Amino acid sequence: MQRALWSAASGMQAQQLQIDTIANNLANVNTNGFKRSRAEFQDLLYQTITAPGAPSSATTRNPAGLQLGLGVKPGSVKKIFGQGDFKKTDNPLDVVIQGQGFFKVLLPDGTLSYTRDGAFTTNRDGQLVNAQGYTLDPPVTLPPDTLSVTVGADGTVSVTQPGQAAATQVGQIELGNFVNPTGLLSLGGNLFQPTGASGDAVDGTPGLDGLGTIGQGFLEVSNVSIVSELVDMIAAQRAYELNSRAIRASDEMMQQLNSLVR
Amino acid sequence: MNSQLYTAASGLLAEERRLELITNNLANLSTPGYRAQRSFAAVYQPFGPAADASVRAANASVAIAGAYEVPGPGSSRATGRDLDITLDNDTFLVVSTPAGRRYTRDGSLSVSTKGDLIDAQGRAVLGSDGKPLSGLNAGAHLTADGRVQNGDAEVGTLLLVSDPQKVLRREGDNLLMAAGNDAALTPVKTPAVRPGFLEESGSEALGELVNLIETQRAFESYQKLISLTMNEVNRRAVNDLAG
Repeated sequence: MQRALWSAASGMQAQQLQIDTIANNLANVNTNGFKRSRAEFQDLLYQTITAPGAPSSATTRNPAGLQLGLGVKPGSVKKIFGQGDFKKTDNPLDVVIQGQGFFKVLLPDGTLSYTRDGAFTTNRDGQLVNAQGYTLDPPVTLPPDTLSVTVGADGTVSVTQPGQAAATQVGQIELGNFVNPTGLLSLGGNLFQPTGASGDAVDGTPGLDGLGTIGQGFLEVSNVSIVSELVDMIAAQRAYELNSRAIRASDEMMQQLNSLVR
Repeated sequence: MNSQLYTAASGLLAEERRLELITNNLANLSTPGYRAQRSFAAVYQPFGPAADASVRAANASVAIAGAYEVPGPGSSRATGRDLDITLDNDTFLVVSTPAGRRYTRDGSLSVSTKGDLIDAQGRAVLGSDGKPLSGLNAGAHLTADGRVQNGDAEVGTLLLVSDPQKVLRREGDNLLMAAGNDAALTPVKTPAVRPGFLEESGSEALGELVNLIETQRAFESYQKLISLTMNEVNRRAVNDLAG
């Protein structure tokens, strides 16, 4: 009965993690470039009382064994890098990636981090920066007398200036991609950092080598679906309840055993 | 004279074991590809002359003889991830571990930094040639007939096996092992998978709850039987006969 208690307790812990993951997804339902997470579980070790297929006599075999499982454990919390919806903003410095890839921004410590959040603005030097003020890599600087900005599908940034008929190219947005984006480390602030599991970034021009193209005047909102998160939450809550019911059942059964001896 | 005590005690032990199986099913309500287990009991009777058959039946014990798997598949859900797959019923993916081949129904796959197809714990998934599927890039995806492709370029085919002789046993970590009987598993000739879906747990909440209540009540009955035997029958035997 101790086994039953601990199995049910591990079930409750697993469902708690499930709820934690869902709550974070729901909290970020309006976060630009946010990718939802999914908790994944695995069964724990088994105690084999009777091995399946063990001989039950010289000529016959047990058709089914008796293996007592010891509960469940969280395996991983996986980021799901599906495309989020696009929101039209008409702001010329809001850009989205249609397809795979990440924008590269330079952190203050000099390392690169990666983001799907394309809400850029200019700093006082005219450089394109993200919401935290980190510059794009390679940097794109807009001249002070810029009239309008155009970002092409291939990531070229051009500006028109007073007295000039033709637009001038002032920079190029590059994208980075990963073999296994699921292995990226979330830094918070919509930023991701490469790890040993994600592999090194493969940089390239938007639209080439499987990278997505750039769309101007849009933002990518989170890929969280409220309906499916709510359904998952109900399921997790009920599963939590059932596991606590199992704990109560084993507790009551132990009480009855105790009452055998007076 | 107190053989009914042993009969009732064997019932308590059997229900306890059943409870352990039920709680494990409940704990794994969210484990992808999990199969619920149900117990079956066997009755053991003492030996004796045929004329005493009714006496022997009354002195029988019960024990959980084994557990069978509730046949799947569990329901599957759309995940929108290219490398999530649901397998056909009774087929298994083959992964390579330091301890040898292991089998799983957990179809949450990824690509490693080396470009290998890996399972949820980073173990290499084997292709139909028995080698890890490698050379995948960021555009890797799976087709409904089990082929692995980089965009449109062919990389290999998943190795899927079935277990007609029921040699697989559970190891934990969503893995099954064949314990030396790997040859008894037969490769599936025409693999069929559903990309973009993940199989949910085969453990089903309502059924497990009913079993839980049933187990608890049966346990209670055995307990009543024991306290009746010990407190009433024995007391009266001692008081009325000896007193």
